[in-house]
Amino acid sequence: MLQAINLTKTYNSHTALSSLDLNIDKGEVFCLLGQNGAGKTTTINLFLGFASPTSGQALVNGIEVANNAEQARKHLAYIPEVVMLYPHLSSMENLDFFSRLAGFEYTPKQLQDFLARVGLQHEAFEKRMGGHSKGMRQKVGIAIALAKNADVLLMDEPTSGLDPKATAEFTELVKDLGKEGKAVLMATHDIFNAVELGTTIGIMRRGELIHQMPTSNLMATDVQKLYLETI
Amino acid sequence: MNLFKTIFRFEWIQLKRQYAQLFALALFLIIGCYAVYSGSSVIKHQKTVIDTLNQQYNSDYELAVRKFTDTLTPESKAQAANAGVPQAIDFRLPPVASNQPKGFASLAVGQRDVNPYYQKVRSQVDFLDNGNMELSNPSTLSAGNFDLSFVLVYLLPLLIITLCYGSYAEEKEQGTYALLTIQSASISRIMIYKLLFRAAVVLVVTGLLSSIAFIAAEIIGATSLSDILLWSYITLMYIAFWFAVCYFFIQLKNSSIATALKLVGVWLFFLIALPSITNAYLSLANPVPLRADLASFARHAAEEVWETKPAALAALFNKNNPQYNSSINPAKDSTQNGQRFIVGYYDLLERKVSGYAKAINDEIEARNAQAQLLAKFSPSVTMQYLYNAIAQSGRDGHMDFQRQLSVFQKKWKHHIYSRQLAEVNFTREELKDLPKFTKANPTSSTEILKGSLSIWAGLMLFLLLANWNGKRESSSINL
Amino acid sequence: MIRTIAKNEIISAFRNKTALWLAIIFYLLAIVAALGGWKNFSTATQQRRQAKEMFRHQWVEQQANPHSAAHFGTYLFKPFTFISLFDTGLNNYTGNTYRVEAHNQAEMNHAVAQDSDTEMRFGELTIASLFQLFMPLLIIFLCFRSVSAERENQTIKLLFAQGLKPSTLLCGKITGNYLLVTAIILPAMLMMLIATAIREPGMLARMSYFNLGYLLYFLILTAVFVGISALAKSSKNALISSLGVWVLCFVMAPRLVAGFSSRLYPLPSRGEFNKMIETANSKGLQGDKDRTERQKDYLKEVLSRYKVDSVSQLPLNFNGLRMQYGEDYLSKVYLTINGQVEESIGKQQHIERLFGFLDPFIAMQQLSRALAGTDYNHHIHFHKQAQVYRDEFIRKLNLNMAYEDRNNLRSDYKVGPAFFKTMEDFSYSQPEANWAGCKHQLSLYALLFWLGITALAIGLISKKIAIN
Repeated sequence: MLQAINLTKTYNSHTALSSLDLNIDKGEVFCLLGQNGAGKTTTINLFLGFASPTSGQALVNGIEVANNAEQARKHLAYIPEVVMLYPHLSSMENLDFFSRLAGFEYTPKQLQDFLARVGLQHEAFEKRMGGHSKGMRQKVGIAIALAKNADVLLMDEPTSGLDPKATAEFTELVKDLGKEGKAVLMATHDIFNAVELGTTIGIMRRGELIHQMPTSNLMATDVQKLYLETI
Repeated sequence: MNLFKTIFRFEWIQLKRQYAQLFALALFLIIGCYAVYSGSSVIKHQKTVIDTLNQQYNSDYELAVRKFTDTLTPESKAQAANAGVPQAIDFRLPPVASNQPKGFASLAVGQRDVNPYYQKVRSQVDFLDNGNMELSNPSTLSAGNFDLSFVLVYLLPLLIITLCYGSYAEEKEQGTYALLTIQSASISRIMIYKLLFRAAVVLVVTGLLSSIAFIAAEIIGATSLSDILLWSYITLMYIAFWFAVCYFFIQLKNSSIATALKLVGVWLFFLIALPSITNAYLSLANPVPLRADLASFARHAAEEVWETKPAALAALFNKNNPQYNSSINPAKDSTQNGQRFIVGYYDLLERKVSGYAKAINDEIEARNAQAQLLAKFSPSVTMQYLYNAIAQSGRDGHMDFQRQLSVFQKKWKHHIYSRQLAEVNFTREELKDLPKFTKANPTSSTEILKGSLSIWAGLMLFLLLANWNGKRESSSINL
Repeated sequence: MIRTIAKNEIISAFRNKTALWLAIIFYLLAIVAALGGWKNFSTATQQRRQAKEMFRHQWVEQQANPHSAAHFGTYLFKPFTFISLFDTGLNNYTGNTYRVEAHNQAEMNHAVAQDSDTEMRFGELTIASLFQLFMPLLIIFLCFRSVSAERENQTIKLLFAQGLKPSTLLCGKITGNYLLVTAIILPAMLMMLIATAIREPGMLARMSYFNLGYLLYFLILTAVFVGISALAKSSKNALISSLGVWVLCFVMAPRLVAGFSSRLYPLPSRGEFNKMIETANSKGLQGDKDRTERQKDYLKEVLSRYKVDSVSQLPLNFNGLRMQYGEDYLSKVYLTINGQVEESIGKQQHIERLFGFLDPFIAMQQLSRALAGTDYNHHIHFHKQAQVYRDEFIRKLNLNMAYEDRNNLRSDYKVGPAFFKTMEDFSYSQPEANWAGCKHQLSLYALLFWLGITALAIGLISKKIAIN
């Protein structure tokens, strides 16, 4: 579903991403670990088409993003680090609006189901975003991603700033998504969480993917050790 | 179409909840309504003045008629004999020529507060004294009228800027831009629809305001339809122009503060800087002439004509005015007391001075032609010109009145002279048939359509600039 | 502390180059305005001088019957002060020529506005319009971020943690920005002073007050806009609110106030005015007899003064006296009725000046015009002198008829240069700067009131500065 072939991005003389090869299949949850500036966000931006590669290709469902960003984006959903929505619209209205942009018209009942699924309290459904906490906004952001019903989810440190309970709920949700057959690429700092929800883990350093391994028989402590050695 | 509906629906929900914008819209409407009231009160006053003059004329007329039959005292009996003397009629019953305001003048007072809008017409013309200039507080004139055209020309662009400046940058600043690009196929279409939504809001508010104005100024009925259409057409065009300006600056994708600053800068340039610079140029290149030499010439001419031998003056008069030849009476005409000497004096003086006055008027016309040319570069001044043209309250409207007045004055002069020279008095019945001034009020729609071209050109310029900039940018993806 | 904050403000203004660009634009416009103003002023002055000389020459050199000379009369031209080139004020809307003639009390005529079209209403580029309209915008651009940006960058927390008092922060910001404004404006003001000193030293006091007035005005505006920046939630809000204030106070208010005051004290129409004069002249002012009666009484009085029974026995030409008597009465009528109009306009102006307490722009505009000699007061000051001159002028001619000409108004009685030269030429004396100031005390108080208000507001606002 998500494929990077020799993907490289340089800004002037600085190499943000160098010759990345990556393949994420259906049902796979790929967690990218790495320090700030390791190239995680660049990778996600290249798949989103927010930046164009210096060389190589980023493919979504076989569609090359650089030439065909709009087509590729149809298959993508995105959760940024800080979800920002229209402060004057309620959770329901924001969800409705962004779903309509993506071409989906849901009944109020369906919209409520999405919000319930991401664990947003019922009282917050009709409240305006302006008064929402970061966690609540994050949940609405995830609901928007879910409602788009995309094959691929890109997440840029989605759990930063969430409290432990919200993080746990989020972890369960992403696991479910993987089981449903979505391909997920998630950049994160949270090693324990990555091991918990990921099917594959990648560790990046200075624009290069150094390690890539399945989590099936990994312990979080092993990954932490490896991570510290790598960086 | 779905995208269009979605954007409109959610923009509408957001608009309803943003008090600052609602406040701006409400304020605009209130200010607009006040402007309608304020403009109407100026024009209403002028109408009252004209009505009073007409009433005064009617009572003067009654008095003049009564003089024919009032033979109670020996004094009034003597007066009755002379009641129909042409000079007396010229003095007592000068017809009032008034520049009746059109309904639209309430919406665009234009120069009506500066220019005289009525005149008592007599057989002689005074070139030196425009003694019929209205009494006014110069400070009020210099501040200008708070009429609907002011609101539309000055404040409407500010409303458009307030609604639009953030339409791109705020998505960016509140962090929704990335999600918009992911969720939808075409971000540029979303941006255009967002602007269209704002245009729709502005159109509704302006339409509402204009309807209020039309009703308040009693502009209704089929006769005004073409004027209403013209008014709406140029207002629409001006709105489109400012949206094109906003579109250009929005797609430069600066921060909302930078965009606001730039748009205000453009407003300042078009509404204040450009007109005042062209005015400075105008007063340097075509200063209004001092009428000193005209006055001096008039004095000189008056002395010269007065010194002319009555017979010579009469001969000259007869040559210039063969229509009165039937009343030639050589004996009478060769004295200073004869009517031909008096009429001939004024006639020749008028001929001489009007020739000289023409040179000065030509200078003033050249100045105004220059001003009209310069106005083409300034959309705001062009708009004011166009609004005034519809209301016939600008200088052109005034000059038009002056021309009609001048034609009428000649007619009146002939009416008086033909009797004065033949020394035939008016009968009481003939007073009913004294010439009356009626003003024709044609608005030339072609003139207005032609005048609007420069704004279309400006609009196209901004759209082309935006398009060119968009093309240049689309090669590099910009977030 | 204030010094440190102010210095910091100045340095950052220089770094972001906004101040520099605005100053450059200001000077470009100022140069255009000053050169244009100078050219207009010198052309107009020369035109007037030539016209004045021409009319004087014609007057002195004529051989004419005094009464027909009075009929043709002469023309007086309103001279412009040198400072008027910096603030043309109402000059385009007030007439600039005064006709002196028998039997008629003239108004000032031929305002430029009458010969112009609607573009004139968009305003003129003068030093005053730059000072009144452009400088406030420049001040807004300098000040709108001053406090709000400290909040947005979170530096305000640091500043307060260092022990800075909020009021000190505000004063520092105001001082810094005001110094910048002064630095931009002072060279221009100095040049204006020097030019005045060279060209018309008598106007130096006016010019100094003019500049001081504007320096005060800029201080008020700097304080107001820094205050807005301190109160606003964000820099964007500060900018939008400041611009809103600018549009309201500088673009809309003058028109609103003008409309309001003219509705409050309506003026008669020209037609009504002429009719009132005509009626008062023929029927007599309140308590006076009508024209025929008045003249009968006057004749009786003259006859008894000379102890004779009929006009023909009088040792003078009674027609000359009779005409002068008519002139005296007309003058009385005119002064009464025109006085009422002037009073109404004066009331309108008073309302405008009162609005200066709500809008410093109006106060400054009034004060500036007053000092430049281009306000309504100066206009009527000239008109009054011209009118007095006119009355004397006509009197002299009528009395010449009365006492020198025994021919009873025949046009073959003529006098020449020997007589006409004895009639003094009109020379207008400009009122002192103090006079102008006195007439506009209210505007000055309004500015001082605003200074007080802003000083008070600093205290109040500093208690309200939000940290986040």
